[in-house]
Amino acid sequence: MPIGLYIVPYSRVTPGGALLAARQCDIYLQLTSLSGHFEQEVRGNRAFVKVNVSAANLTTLDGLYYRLPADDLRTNLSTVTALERTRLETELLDMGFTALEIAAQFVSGLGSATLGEVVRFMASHVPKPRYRSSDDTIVLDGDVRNFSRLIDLLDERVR
Amino acid sequence: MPAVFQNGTLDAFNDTEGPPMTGWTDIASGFRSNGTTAQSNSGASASGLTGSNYGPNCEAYLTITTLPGNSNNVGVQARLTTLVLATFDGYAVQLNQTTGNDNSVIQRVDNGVGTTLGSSITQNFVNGDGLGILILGSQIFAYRRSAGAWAELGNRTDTTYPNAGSIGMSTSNTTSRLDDFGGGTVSAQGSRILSSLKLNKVSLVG
Repeated sequence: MPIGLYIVPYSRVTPGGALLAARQCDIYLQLTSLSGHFEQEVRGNRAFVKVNVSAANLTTLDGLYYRLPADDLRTNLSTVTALERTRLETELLDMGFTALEIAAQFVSGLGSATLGEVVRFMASHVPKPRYRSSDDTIVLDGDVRNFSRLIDLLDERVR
Repeated sequence: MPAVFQNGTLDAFNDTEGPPMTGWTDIASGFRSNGTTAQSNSGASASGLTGSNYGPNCEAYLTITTLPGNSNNVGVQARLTTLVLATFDGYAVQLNQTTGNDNSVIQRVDNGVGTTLGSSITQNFVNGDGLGILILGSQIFAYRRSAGAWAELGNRTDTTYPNAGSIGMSTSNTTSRLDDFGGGTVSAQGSRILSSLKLNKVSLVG
């Protein structure tokens, strides 16, 4: 079955009168046939998702989420279109990275990086969540955690 | 002692006390025991064993004598850092009873916020079943006991909280009745055996 790499938001869930404020990667809520563990949290209340599913399910996911411009993290981004690189940079900005941070990380531009380097960067600054009861919201403003090493573990796990 | 879990029962809730029950710290609301089982004293409750520091390889389990009813849940937790709702971290296995098929989730808990790891796991429970969490290294396993036999529901990988911690239980209402809470540290030998049996298991269904 084909591979697909996506950036997917977390959704608030209230499973069974939840004691905790809880969230779950939205892909499992939309594609309920998906069984297993395919995501790793990145910045911006999002997850990097690698799935190995039917072509029909990939088509469904393509209509729901941002699909990364290649299906292999080793892909050099010089091989994708300028428009696709711009879309990727927009995603980084939407996650909360500043243009300055992106420029400092990718000195020669995204075209000189691999997709894996960009995704590991996404996972390198992930604030810890907390629950804010005043407006019943999960906010991500705690200690910054680095999950970049786990991107490769997920990549190896899903083949 | 159950076949899967190495440690015996820590509290059979044979006293009439609480909240808090002796040896427990209430994270939210609190549990009380009625001489045979434990139940939430009011609304949703979570409690951890006071002063417990199990692991990092560890386990916790309980018997759900009475299920919580639809749209409610029961959970077990391990590697808990604090026993304060707004700041506690760790891992949880939670059974969500629903009008359709029940489901269980494996969660990482950050500051009391649950993040489900992977998909929900469909499995109906009946009164008297057991619910358990086993953590070996970075793998978190969910277990259900049915008719006396424990079976794995699923497992997830997460490295965020690698250290030993407290173990606990939770429920979302006063309907559920919980019994025979057990758990503790899992020995290295047991970990190796279980790891060799389970670490290569990957489910890919789409």
